[in-house]
Amino acid sequence: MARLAPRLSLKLRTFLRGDVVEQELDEEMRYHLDRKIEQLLAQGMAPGDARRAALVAFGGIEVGKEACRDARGFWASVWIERLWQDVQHGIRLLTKSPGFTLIAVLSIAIGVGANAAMFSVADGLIFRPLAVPDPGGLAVVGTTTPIGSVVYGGLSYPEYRDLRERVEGFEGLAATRVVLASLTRSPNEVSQATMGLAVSPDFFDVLRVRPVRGRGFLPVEERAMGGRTAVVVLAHDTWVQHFGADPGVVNSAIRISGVPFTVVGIAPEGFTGTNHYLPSAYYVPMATLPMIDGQVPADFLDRREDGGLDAVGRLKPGVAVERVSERAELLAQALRQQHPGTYDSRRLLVRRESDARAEEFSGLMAMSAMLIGLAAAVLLVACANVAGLLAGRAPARAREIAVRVAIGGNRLRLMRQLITESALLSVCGGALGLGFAEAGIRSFRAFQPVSSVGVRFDFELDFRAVAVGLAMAVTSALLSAVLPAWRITRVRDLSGTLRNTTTPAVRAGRLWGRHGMVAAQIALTLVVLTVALSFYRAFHAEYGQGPGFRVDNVLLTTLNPSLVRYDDAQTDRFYQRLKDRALAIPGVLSVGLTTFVPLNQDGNSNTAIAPEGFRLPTGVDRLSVAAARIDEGYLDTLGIRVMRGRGIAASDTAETTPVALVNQGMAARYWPGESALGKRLRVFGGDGGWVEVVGVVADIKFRLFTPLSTPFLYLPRRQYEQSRATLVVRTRGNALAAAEPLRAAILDTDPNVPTLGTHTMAAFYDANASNINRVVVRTIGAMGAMGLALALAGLYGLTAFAVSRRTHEIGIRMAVGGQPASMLGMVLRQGLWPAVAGLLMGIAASVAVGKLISSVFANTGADIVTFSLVVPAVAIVSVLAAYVPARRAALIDPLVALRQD
Amino acid sequence: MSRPTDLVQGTLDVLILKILALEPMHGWAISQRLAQVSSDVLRASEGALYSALHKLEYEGWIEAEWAPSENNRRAKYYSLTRRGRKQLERETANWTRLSAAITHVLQLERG
Repeated sequence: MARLAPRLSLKLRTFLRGDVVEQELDEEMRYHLDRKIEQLLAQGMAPGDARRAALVAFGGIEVGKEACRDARGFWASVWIERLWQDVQHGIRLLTKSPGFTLIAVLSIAIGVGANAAMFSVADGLIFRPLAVPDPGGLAVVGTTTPIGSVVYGGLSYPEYRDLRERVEGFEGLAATRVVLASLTRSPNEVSQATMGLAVSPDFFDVLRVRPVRGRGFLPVEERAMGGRTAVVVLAHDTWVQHFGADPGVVNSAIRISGVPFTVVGIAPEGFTGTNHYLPSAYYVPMATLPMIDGQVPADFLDRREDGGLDAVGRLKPGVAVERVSERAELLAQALRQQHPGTYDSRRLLVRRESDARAEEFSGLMAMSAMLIGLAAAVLLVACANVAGLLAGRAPARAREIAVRVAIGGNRLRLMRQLITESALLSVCGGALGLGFAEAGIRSFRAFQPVSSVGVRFDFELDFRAVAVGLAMAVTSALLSAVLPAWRITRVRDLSGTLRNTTTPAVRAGRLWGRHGMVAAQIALTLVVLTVALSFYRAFHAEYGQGPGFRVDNVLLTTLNPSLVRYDDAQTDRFYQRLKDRALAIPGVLSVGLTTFVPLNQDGNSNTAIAPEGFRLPTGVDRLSVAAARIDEGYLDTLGIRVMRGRGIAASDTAETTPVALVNQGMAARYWPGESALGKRLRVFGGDGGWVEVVGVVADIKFRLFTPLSTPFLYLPRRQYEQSRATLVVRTRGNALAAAEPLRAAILDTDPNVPTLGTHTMAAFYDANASNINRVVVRTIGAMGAMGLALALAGLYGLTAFAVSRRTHEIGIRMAVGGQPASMLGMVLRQGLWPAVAGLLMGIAASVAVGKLISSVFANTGADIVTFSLVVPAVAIVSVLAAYVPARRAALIDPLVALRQD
Repeated sequence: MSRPTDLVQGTLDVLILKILALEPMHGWAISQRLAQVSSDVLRASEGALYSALHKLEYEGWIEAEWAPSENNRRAKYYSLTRRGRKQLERETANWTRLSAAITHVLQLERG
């Protein structure tokens, strides 16, 4: 230690105050020189001679200084100076071969950019943890539905209390439930429904989120105590957007669904609640739910059969989630005995929040995995390319380096220069890659579903991904540049390198490596292109013939009269009056109501049914099908044809026989070979009675990546009253023209009923179907194209390298009578065999990958049509890439070639 | 450190340490003193001298200080540190042992 201290301070001084040290060095030398000159003058020498003699004796001031600098160690100010020299030298070298530099930089940029963009997108889609401290410690509670599938949530408040009190392993467990209500400051504002969370009082504590202003909730606020629990914590965004970030909002009154609430706190910025995609605008105590949602009974906190709650807990440190899950299951068994009937076959389980999210959004997960996989393939191709390019240059530089070593160049210094060169390439490529990534992410920001409740995806450039991509590029560049250079700079190889008049012989193994790399590149490219094309074709097949319903000139408005606590009769009257008013708007042709808009992505539209005469799998007493509750005008307004029987009539009311319509797919599925008309099915959730099928309607596309013939059920909305509904309006011209009159009509009918957004069906369809289609296909296609371009550059480089190495040999062959055509063939053969090998490997890999993908996305596997397009394309392009340099070989003038070197 | 080529370099180091053990000096004075005490037998090139000085400073055996010189200009004065003194003792002992051994060997050959 004692030895280190003075050295360190000297180094530090040298490093930090490099200018001062240089100055002192200069002064010290000058002093010496002056004294020497004085001495020589005193001996009688002429002034000019004295100065010259002194300088000669010194051996040059710069040399002296250099020696002193060296004595001060490697990382003195000199270090920076030399680095700068190396950088300048590197830039000179790189600009001397712009083609090489361009391809290398672009390769790195594409690889890093694609990777960073795709990782960022995947992060935004699924991987990003909740914006709370230590999100890894969070777990959620799941239940099984009567159909047997697992859902996360679906708990009742007593169940939640049992879990909180009787299951060991949670530090805390909070309950949440999504609320949709209007948020206004004064009673006569136009109401717009916003999404919030009703939560148990410990919600903020469990998530370890502290409100930035005011407070969270108090334990006494678990139970309604008159109006005192009517308190609300606003989300930061809400506070800024609706209340202009006014600090005076805290402790003031606002209205939720028209009921006065006191604002007690503001949640921190960036906190979205328990869901990324559905940011909460406000948080209220669970006990206030019946006050703001007319459909929630006043005693719901004590009702064991009322579900709809999510539970999120923080695990105690060191507690395995599996143990907690087992204890929850034991609790479920106990509950089954305590409350027979309520808990038949109902199980409880606990999962880590991240796992549950991946399971719940498995579609997003699969898409993310695929995008990342493709980007990783592109990055591999890019790295292989850079490695190939640099390795190709290594022999050409071998002589330059050998000469420099021979005339006394410092080996370390040379190595450092080579490293600087690769680092330069990587930095340029990385910077460009950042730009590419940002552009890619921007195109993905268009990937936003149009949603009535504010579902959103948040894509941010992820710098971890940039770092990983860059690290890979740097590593591959370094390895491929430095390893050959290290070998060259070893003295043992020096004489060989110098003696060889042409470029040094490349060992067969090395060439094998390069060929293998090109083959792997082509194989990977083929896989990426196959996946891209099969996705494109799958999307095309999905949307090529249109969705099967009217998209143009249709306006959608979603309403929820239950938010102002309408009962069923009031709701029905409200909709009837609204439809009459809408029909009176000039240009409106027809109107209809539905609870489910095709291709909608939020909300669960599934209904449990049991078709009569259909044999259910053992142990299951019901099936789940997608369903919509519609009125008599809906099918007509969207142009969905009734194939047999009748549609929904205005006379299908709560007093008449329950009826249903099925789509063709459902009829064929449950009553194959028979007419579905007159068949019956049991619909659970209502009174559980039999419902008669009175009509079969045409199949339409109602969900992404699902076949047209997937069963779909239509029920008359008057027999299955549901307050929230979407008004579908068909207009003569541009649908948007009707938006303003329609808004007026809603205000005229009841200004208090909040709308959940108005948009045209065209925009809705574009966002939820064609837009996703475009973005995904474009992205995958772009990655395929990038991969192909990179592989091409690699193959071109390989062949060009081979030609340049064999120029001398080809010259001799030509001189002794070789024909250009045979030279062309010879070089072409050498370039093409890795291409052929790559194609074969690629086909095999594509088939395997295709199987994997089609197990997740239906109809997307690679097929013979895809191959018959991709394989010849890659083959032709490969031949071209090899042909250009090969042709150059064939045109070699033997005289010029032999005179070379 | 133990390469044979270090012998000459190492010798210069010891001579500098020895000269500085008497009094702090600047580079020019050291070079003059070196020539003077060795009766012009030992003469280090200026480059080698300053390189050695900076190396010794880096090793922590000598330290430098700017002070006015005899002709009233600023000069960099080097002086021995405590660790430098120990190093000098070590090197002197080494040198004595080595030269005794070499002398012994040379006498053997003569006899």
